[in-house]
Amino acid sequence: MNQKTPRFWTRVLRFFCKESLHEELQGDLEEVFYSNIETKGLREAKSIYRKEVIKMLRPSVVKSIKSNSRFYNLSLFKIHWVLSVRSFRKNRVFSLVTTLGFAAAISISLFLINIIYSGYSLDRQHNDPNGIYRVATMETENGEIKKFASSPFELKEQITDNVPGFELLTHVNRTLAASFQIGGSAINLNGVYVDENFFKIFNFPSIKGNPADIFKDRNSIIITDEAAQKLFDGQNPIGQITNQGQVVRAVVASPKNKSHIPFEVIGNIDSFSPDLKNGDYKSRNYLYGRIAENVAPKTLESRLESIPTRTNDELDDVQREHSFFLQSIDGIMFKDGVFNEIGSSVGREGLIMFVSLTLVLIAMACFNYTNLSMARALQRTREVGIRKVAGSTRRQIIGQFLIETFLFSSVGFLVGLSIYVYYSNRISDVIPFPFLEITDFNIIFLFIGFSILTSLTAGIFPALFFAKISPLALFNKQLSKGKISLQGIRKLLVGFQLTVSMFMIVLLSLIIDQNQSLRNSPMGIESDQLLVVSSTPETVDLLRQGFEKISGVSSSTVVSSLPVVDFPVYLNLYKKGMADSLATRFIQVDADFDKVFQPKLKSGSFFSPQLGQQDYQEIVVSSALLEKMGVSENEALGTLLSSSAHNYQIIGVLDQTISANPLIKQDESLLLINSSQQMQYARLVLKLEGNDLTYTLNQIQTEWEAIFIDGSFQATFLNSQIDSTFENLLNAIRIITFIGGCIILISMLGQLGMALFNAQSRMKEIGIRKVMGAAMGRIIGLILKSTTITIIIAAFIATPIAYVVFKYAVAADVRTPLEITPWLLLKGVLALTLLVVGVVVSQTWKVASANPTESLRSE
Amino acid sequence: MKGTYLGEFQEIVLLTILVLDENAYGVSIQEEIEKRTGREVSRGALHTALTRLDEKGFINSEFGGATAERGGRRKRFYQVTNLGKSSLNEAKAVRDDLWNSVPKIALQKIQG
Repeated sequence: MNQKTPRFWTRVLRFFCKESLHEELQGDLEEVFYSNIETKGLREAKSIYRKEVIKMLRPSVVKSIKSNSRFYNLSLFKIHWVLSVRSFRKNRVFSLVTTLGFAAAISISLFLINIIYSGYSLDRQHNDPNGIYRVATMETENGEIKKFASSPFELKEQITDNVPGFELLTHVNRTLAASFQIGGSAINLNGVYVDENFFKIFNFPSIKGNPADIFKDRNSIIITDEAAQKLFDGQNPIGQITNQGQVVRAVVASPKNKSHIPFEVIGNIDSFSPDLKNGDYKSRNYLYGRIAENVAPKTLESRLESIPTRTNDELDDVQREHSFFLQSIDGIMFKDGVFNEIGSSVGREGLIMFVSLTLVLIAMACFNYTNLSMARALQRTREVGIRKVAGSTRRQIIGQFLIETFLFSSVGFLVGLSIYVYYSNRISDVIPFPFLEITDFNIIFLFIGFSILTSLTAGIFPALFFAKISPLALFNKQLSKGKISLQGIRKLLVGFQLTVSMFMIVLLSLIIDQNQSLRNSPMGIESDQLLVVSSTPETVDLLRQGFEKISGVSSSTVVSSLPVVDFPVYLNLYKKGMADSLATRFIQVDADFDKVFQPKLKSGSFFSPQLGQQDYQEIVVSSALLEKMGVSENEALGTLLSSSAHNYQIIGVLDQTISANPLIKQDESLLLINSSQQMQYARLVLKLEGNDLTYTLNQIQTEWEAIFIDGSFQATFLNSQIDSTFENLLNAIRIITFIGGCIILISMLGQLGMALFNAQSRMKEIGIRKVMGAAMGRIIGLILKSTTITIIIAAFIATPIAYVVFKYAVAADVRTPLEITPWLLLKGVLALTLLVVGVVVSQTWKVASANPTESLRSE
Repeated sequence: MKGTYLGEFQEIVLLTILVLDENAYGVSIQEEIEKRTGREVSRGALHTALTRLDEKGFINSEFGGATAERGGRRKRFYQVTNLGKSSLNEAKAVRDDLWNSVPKIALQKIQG
C-alpha cells in the first residue's frame, strides 16, 4: 500500500518550512491528504498535496537563510581548510587517484573548451563581421541534397549582374601554391587567389608593403608574417621571388587563429591559372561578400534563386539542380557540415561531440571522486559523528566536505592546467583547429569557472551523504542505514564508468578497423606514379602532345573526375524494356584510360582510339551494374543502353569496380564512357616511369610553361591526393583515440582506487580465510567476482550502443562499411576486461599474499 | 494603517473562526471557507492570513492534543481575541453605514 504522503514533496516542505510552523502545516496537509484519498482517490490527493506544498512557498512560511549563514564564518572556513589539507596528505593513494583523474579530465576539457571558444572568436577583426557571408552551393541530385562550401567561378559575375544587395564580393580560390628556393630545397606555401575586394571585406593587417599593390600586375604575391619568418628569417621578404617567378610585394598578419580562411600566401586572381575558370562548384573556389546594410540575408537568399543554374551540356541527363545559399561567417566552424570546406571545420555534429565528450570526461572524474570518498565513509563516520555530537550543523558539515572537494579539484585543476600549458603549444600545431593561447583573459576566466563548477558537482553528493550520518552511528559502529543504499550508488557509478569505457574502446576498435579496411579496399586502379596536371579543356590536347615527347612520361589520359579522390557523379541509365532508369556512377574517359590507370578487365576489351561521331558510345561497366540491370555476364558484351542524351554499347566488363572518394557513400555500379567529345571538367593524368622523377617533373613544367606563358604550374601525385583524402578521417581517429584513452585512464584510476580500498577493508576477512586454508587464487577470485559482474553488464549495455553509433553515424557514409563480426566487437570488450582484471589483481595481490598474522595481530 | 486594517479575506477568516467556535484549526477553517464561499483556498494562503491576523492581535492560538490521522502531530486551534471582535464590529458598522447611504434607486438593476 502506498498511502503515504508523497515523500519528495514532504521533504521539500520540510526543507524550506520554518521549524516552528512545520508541525502545524505538515499536520494540516497530511490530514487533508488522507481525507482526499477517501473522497477523491489517491492520484487526485497526491496532486492536491503537491500543489499545496508549492503554494506554501511564501515569505511567511519559508525560513530565512540569513540566520544560518551567521554560523559559517571565516575561522570555521580556516579550520575546514586545515582539515582538508590534512586529509589530503593522509590518504596518499586516494589523493593521487582523484587528483590525477581530475587533472586528466580537466586538461582535456580545457583543450576542448579552447577549441570551441577559439572557433567562435574567429573572424571578429573585420569591419562589420556580422555582415560578411559566404555564398555556398546546394546540390540536389536524385532527391538527395548535398551542400558545398564552394561555388562556381562565374557566380560572382552573375550576382553582380543580376542580384542587388551585396556591397562587395570577392573571389577566394584555394589553389594557389608557391614555392621558394631556400638553401637548396624548395619550400612550398599554400594560399588563396583573391581579387581587390578581399582586403576591403576582410581585415588582415598589413605588416610590410601595401597589399593592394598585388592587383596592379599578375606576378605579385603577399605572404604572411609567419611564412616570412619561416622562410626569410631576418631578411627583408619584400622583393623575394618564387620559383614560379612571382614577386613578394607585401607581408600581412597570419590568419592563424584569426580567420577560418587559411593561407600562407595571397595571389591576384587575374594571374592566369587554368584550373580556376574551368572548375565547377566542386573545385576549391569560394565567394565571400559583405551585405549592404539595409538588406536582410533572407531576402538576399531568395533573390539568389533567380540565378540561372549551369547545366552540363554533355551530361544534361543528370537530374542535378543547383541553388545557392548564404552562410554567415560568424561561428562558421560549427555550422552544419558542408563538403569542400575552405579550411578546417568541426561542424554541428563535431561541436555536439566535443561538448558531450567534455561532459562525459568531467562526469567520469567526478564519479571517481564521489565513489572513492563514499567508500571512505566507513573511516570517516566517527569523525563526522563526533563533530555532530560536538554541535556541528548539517550545513557546516556540507561546507566542510565541499571545501575538501574544492581542494582536491583545484589541485587537480592545477596539475591539469600545467599539462595543458605544457602541451598547448605543441598541440596547436598538430590539431587542425584554431587554438588560442592561454594569455587570453576570457579563456582563463572560463577555465576557473569551469573548475569551480566541477568541484561542486563532484562534492555535493558525498557532502550530503556525510551530513546525513547520524551521531548514533558512532556508537553503533554500523553505518546508519540511509534511504539510499551506499553500495548501490557506488556500483551504479562504477558501472557507468565501465560502460562508457567499454563503449569508447569498442567504438575505437571499430573505427580503426574501418579505416584499415577503407585503406585496404581495392581501388580498382594502379595509383603509383600518376601525376595530375592542371589544364583547361581547350589546351589539354596540346599539353598531351608536348608531354608525350618526354621520355619519363609513359602515357597520358584525360578523365572527367579523378578515381578515389573526386566525389561520385551520377547519370540515369535506361535499358530497353526497363521501366525505370537506374542512377549510375560514371566517369568519362578516353581511349588511353587503361594505359594510365591499368584497371583489370573480366571480359571484353578496352576502348578503341577512333574518334568522331558514332551511333553508340563505347562503355565499360562494372559487374555490379550488370547485376542491377539484370544482364548476365555472358551476354553483357554488345548490350545497348541509353541515357536521355546518348546511346551506349557495352564493350567490356571490369574485374573490379573503380572507387570514387571512399569517404562518400556510393555503390559498386560504374560506367566508364569513351567520350569522343571535349569534356567540361577535364583532368589530365600522366603516368610517369623511370627513376629520375625530378628531371621528368622539370621537363613537364617546361612543357607546361611553354603553353601557359605566365601561368603557375601545378601538379600533384594522385597518391598524395588520396592520402589527404584520408587525412580528415585520421585526424578524427587521433582525437577520439586520445580522448577515449583519457576516459579509459580515468576509469582505470577509479578501478584502482576501489580495488585497493576493497582489498584493504577486507584485510581481516582475507586473513581469516587464509588461516582457514583458502588458496591465493580463491581470494583473488572473491574480490574479482563483483568486478566481473559489472564488466559483463557494462559489455551488454555498451556494445550494442557502440554498434549502433558506429553503423548509423560513423560508417553510414563511407564507400564500404565495415562488416561487423562478433569477434570485432569482442576484441574491444576483451581488451578492457584484461585491463580491469589486471588493475584489480595488481592491487589485490599485495593484500592477498601478505602473511595473515600481520593483519590479524593488530587491534 | 497596517495595525487596524482588516482585508476582505481576513474578515472572512475571522468570521469563520467564530462560526467554528471550539473547532477552529487549519483544515476546518479551510473547508468551511470553501463550503461557504465556494472559492478554493490553499493552505498557504490561509496561513498568510492567519499570520497577519496574529500579528495584529486579532487572534491567538494554542496547540491541541496529538491525533493519529495527522501522523501524531498536534492541531493548532485559533480563537478570535476581543480586539479582533471589535475590529469585526467596526468593519460591519462601516459597511452598514455605507449600505444605508446608498440611494435605493442606485441599487435597482437597469432594465434592457
